Amino acid sequence: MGEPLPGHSVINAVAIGEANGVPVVISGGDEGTVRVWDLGGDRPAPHPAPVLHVEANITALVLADGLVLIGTERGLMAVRLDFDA
Amino acid sequence: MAALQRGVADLADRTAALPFSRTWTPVWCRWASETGSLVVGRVEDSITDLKITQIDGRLTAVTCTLSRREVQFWDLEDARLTRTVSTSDLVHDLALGEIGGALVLVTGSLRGEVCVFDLKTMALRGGPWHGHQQSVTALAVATVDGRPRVLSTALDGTIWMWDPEGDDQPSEPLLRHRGPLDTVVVGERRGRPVVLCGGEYAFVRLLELDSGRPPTEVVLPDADSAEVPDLPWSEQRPEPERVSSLVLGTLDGEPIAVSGSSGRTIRAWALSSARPIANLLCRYESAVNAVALGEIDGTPVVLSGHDDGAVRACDLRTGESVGDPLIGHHGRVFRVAQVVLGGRSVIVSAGYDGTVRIWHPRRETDSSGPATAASSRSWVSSDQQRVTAVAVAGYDAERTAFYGESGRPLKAVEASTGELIGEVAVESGCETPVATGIIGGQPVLAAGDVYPAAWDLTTGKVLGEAQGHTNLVLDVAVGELDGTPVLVTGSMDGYVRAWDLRSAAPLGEEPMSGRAGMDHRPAVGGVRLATVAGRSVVVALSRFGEGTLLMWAPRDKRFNRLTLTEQATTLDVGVVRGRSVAATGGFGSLRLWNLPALQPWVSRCPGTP
Repeated sequence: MGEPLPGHSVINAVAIGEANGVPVVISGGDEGTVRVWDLGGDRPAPHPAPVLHVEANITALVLADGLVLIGTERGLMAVRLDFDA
Repeated sequence: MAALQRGVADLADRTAALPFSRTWTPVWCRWASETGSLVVGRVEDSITDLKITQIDGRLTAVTCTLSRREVQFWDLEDARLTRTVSTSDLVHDLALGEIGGALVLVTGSLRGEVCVFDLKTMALRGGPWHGHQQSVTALAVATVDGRPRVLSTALDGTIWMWDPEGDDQPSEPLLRHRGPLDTVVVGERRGRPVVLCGGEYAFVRLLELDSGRPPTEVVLPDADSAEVPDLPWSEQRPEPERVSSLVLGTLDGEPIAVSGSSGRTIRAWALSSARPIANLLCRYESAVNAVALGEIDGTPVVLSGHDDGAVRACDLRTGESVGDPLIGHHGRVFRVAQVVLGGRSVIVSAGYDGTVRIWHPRRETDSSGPATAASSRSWVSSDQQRVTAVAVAGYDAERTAFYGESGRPLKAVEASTGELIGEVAVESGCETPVATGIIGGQPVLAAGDVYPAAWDLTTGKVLGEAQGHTNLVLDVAVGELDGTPVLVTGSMDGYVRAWDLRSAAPLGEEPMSGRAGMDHRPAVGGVRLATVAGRSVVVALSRFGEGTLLMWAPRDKRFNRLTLTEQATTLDVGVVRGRSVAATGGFGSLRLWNLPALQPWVSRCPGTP
């Protein structure tokens, strides 16, 4: 099995993409947090980017060239994901 | 971010301008302003009916649900579930009334049975009566010519009139309608008892009862045909509109009937003249499942429960909205009522999420949000529902985001600003999956959980639709599969299907689970298109039940199935440093998979045991 990446209780949405040229996977769950995982190395690792907190359960995620669309139980928001590569 | 969610856009702007390096920069937000309700309680099922009465001086709601053989009693004053009573069949509809001086509860079941119970003791007083061939949809208790009667309608299109005090029951229904009936009410018109019923094809029928004779039909003028709104990227395929709910009342002393329909409309009729009060009282953005009459701050209103989870109120005279929509239910609202509780007028609602809720209605709309804030950011407070899925099409500043909401048309917004561009009518219920892709260099869209379809986003033409699934479609993918334009669908029925959009023919189907003879196949929760070793494949993930990751080449009829040790619910695929990977998420873990071999991408994160 793939080793699980920790951090969430229940993951409802994942999205693979790039931010600042770094391949990442982002995940969102029931506790309203969005986490970033760095896929740039040989092994996936938690990205040092801080966890984003939103005030609702996350239901859907899209990552399009650094723009993260976050679907939740209470609506939709767009957040730019930016970090030094 | 919190400032943006709460609608304080200028504060969000000032915070964003502070000279700190930041990872997450809020851009825009379309967010619900939750109205606030008291949740009386919750049952782990969809509540299909709710009726309210006084039992021993306590205001009590009686409910039934989709798949539990019981009825529930809720004390609205203490806000708690007080009692459940088992039933022999699945009860989907209820009516309350008084027969022979005693309060009774009438139940209508999935198999078509109608029973009468003493409300206090729940002892059977009448029935079970068998006349309906299909599920009972509505019940009414009435007095006709001085005698108590129980009326029932069903999906079989019949109305039966039962005699709860007699030994002989009718052998024929009162009426056979040409389509399913959804609602029935009994009232009085010019001193004579009348029955109103409604159902498919937007019909409301008015029947005068005459003892010992067939009822006389009073012809109602046809409702004006539904307008077809001009929507981008959509070809209208109107489904038969159903009158889902009827209620009788008075306006300025005149008896009236009000109907709500799946066509998102509310109409009102004067009973004496059998003429509409207004051709169309009100049109909403979501289907109406329930109507009730009430009063908010002295204004007579029609309360309505909608597919999108909102409870709404409109002025009975003008049709104008009264107050903000009441937002809180997750999924469809099936019943709504207004009662006086503790000296205050409150609205009670119930529905798909299994909750019974109490609301305090207000006439004024909430003006605390800076709806016109002069801000560079877009903050839209609306009666936003749960977002079911999001997808983006186009490039750079031209990008469009499409998102689905429970029970609503698909919305298209500018990805850079969040501004609403338009809506797309989709055949969809609760889940509304959405996907975008490229076919022949052109952006395409796929969406819908009942009849998923694919659209060419440049021309707005429907490219094709998926048929044949026996349950809701939970995810879709659209694009090219080795040069063939395809729509891929994953359904609750346990199958992944691929459709050739050029020939409108199925390319193939594959069950999620390879095990034969399973009663319940695991639902397909996620589907994606990927390129693996130069070939196009469909990647699918199960949801609920056995965890399975499937890689499938429909053209070659080849597949590779991997059983997961835990349930996963969400899937994405992508290319990372030249190799195709899949990410799956579920209960507690995010996992990554190397697609070519369908092998785990071995990962051990620092800090994990």
